Amino acid sequence: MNLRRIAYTRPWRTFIAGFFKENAVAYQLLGLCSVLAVSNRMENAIAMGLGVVFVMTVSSVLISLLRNWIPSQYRLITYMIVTSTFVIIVDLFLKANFPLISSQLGPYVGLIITNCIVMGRQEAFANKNGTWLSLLDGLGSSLSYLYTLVILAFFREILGFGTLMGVRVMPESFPPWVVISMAQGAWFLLAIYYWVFRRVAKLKPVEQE
Amino acid sequence: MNLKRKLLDVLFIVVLGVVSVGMLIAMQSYSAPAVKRFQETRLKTSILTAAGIAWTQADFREMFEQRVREQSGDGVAWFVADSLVIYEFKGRGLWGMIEGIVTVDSSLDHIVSVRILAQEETPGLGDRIKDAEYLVTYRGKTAAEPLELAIRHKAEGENEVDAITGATLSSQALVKTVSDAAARLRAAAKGGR
Repeated sequence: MNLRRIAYTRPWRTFIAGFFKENAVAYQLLGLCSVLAVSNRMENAIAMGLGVVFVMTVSSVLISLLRNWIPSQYRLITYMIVTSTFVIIVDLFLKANFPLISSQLGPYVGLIITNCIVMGRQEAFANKNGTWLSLLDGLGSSLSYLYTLVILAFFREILGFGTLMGVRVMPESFPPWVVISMAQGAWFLLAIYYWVFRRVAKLKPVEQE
Repeated sequence: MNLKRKLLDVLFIVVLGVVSVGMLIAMQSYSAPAVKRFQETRLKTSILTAAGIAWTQADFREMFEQRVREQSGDGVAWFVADSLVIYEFKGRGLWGMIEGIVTVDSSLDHIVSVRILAQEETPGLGDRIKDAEYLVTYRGKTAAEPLELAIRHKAEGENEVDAITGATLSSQALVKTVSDAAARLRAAAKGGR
């Protein structure tokens, strides 16, 4: 099968929709709270992003495997149990292996449980589709969250702290823009990100009837 | 029929819960030793640094054994290294617990240094309480009476500590935690002398 054909297959379209066009943060506007809070430094953004990628991929697969057994009235409880189990596993893994990053992320790893991207994709996709597609959907959506975090953190760390991955890149005379390192300041960059992203992805505003 | 359906639903949730708890217990028992080791390393290396003793990753345990003695009294434990007294404290911050160590001189009257081991204050704002540039303002302050936060003016005298602009509540929490710790240490250590 040549590459051009792959672009039209269902798995590829599922993956690329979540990864790019339907970017979890810029298009679906989900998971904003943690984006604002954790994108202040590159290390935090990468650790948090990878945590979400793991939780989302694994829990999407599990939900789609269980989808025929999940009682429909209790499906939200099921999502909660599955998601929170994997979130706590990520939290304990970070605490055991990357204690410094874990202490910097503070409560936000635990709050992946309430990240709307995870539950949104479980309800909208994994609950209705096969395992392979759910895996790609979870992977695509969570990777879009990861790269959004990293892009924002790249600019926020340089402007807010004058460093990149903890290494000083701006001259000593550069005054850190404290407002950018705060969650409120992230809105400025997030707005610019939306603008650029929607241009690049050629997203049109919804037509008003 | 309906009842059977309901029972099956409940059974599903229970099985899911049991599996989930099982996984968490397994993960907990995997991570607990590493977390404990990290906390021990963090405490020992911080105490050595606070006491001005050079250490490396390889020999800090031996250095700690040789140079630091643990003492206790009145249910309070503290560490003595050379002429310094070091006390581990824990107190409520704005969002979570602030853990750290305070070092006082042998007369227990003045603070030599404060170091933060763990905190959950606001990133970029309150978390500056852990920065060395801020904590140096505690140097030489009194340990004999409660410290106060200097808000809207520069700290004067031995019982005032500067606040961090934009993070008054976190600064306040740290001042109170350190003062309480110093008072507890004095009460316990003075009693034994």
